[in-house]
Amino acid sequence: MSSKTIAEKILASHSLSGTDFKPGDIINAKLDLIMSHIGTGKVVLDF
Amino acid sequence: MIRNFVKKQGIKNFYDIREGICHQVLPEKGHTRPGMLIIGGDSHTTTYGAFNAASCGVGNTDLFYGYVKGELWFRVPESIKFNITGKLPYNVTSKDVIIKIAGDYTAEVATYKSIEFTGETMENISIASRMTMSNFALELGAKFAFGVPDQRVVDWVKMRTNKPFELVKPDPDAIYAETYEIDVSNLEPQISCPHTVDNVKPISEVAGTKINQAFLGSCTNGRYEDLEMAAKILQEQTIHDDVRMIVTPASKEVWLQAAKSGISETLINAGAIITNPGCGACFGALGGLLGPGEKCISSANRNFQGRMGSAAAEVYLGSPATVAASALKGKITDPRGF
Repeated sequence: MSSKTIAEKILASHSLSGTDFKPGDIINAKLDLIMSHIGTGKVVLDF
Repeated sequence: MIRNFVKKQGIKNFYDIREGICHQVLPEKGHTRPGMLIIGGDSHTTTYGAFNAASCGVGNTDLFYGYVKGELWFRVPESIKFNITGKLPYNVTSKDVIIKIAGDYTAEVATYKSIEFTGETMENISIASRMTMSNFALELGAKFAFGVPDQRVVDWVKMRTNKPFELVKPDPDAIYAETYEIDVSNLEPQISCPHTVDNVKPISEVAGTKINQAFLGSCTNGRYEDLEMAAKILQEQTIHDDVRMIVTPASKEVWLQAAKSGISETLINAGAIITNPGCGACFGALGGLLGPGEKCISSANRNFQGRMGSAAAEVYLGSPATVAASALKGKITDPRGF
């Protein structure tokens, strides 16, 4: 695997393809947390 | 509607109106940890980069795709680095640094890029100050905006959660599209002038502009240290007669902390109005709507035309210290003299 920045390392650890990538590539990645809000109410899915 | 949705979906983590702004509440509740991949239905979700999380705002379609599938597509961003060195002068803050970056490099410098803020200045500032940088980075177009991955982050997060995490650091030979070197040793307070965040002038060029309103709050600068900084300037002083100063703590926790420490009392005695926690006047959500011709100095992150009320009003962005000093004098004022 090539040397990576912080973003690349986190995306690599969450990538669902398992193959290496470079900036500009499209990947699917598993999410850890989703936040949504309507007005001031906040919904958090902490997987 | 949202309460019904939460009940129907069996969602455990719901923070109602009493809690404050999402970008303050989620870290306080221990939801944002190093190494996480996070999406949020709010543009300033980049804030959690201060906690070493890859975190970005998305639109509703992507948000609910993620909600249903637990995954999402990403175009891998290029990374850029802002290496910040030097000791910040008295009453010059991380807000001034990020506004300076916007002014020098434009609001497009980081479009769909991942920012890493590095350097001794970043290492020496608080988590709250780092959150200001990661938050405002969205205004530069950033996809992600990481602070320094250090022990300060570890200590902060451990106070908030028992969940395991590991810091993610870049490889020494990682490739960056650009590296920008910034020395803040002699930095003046900076102001984003109407109506774009990158219309930046040093305060010496804007000082004396009369204001009608001073807003201290928002996900950028509504934290305890921001209120504390303002209170030090306003201690035993009285806000200018022609100015309404609105203070909106970013969260219930900040609100209570300010109440217990006496900071709220200081601000109230100076003539400030303290509201319930939330987004407040930042985008005209609660009070502080500007009328035609009015001018506001704000600690928030956007000064777009009409954002705080009338399209004929003007919003100037600055640090909490600048907001407090300006409220005191009734005009945009350099806080270094206080």
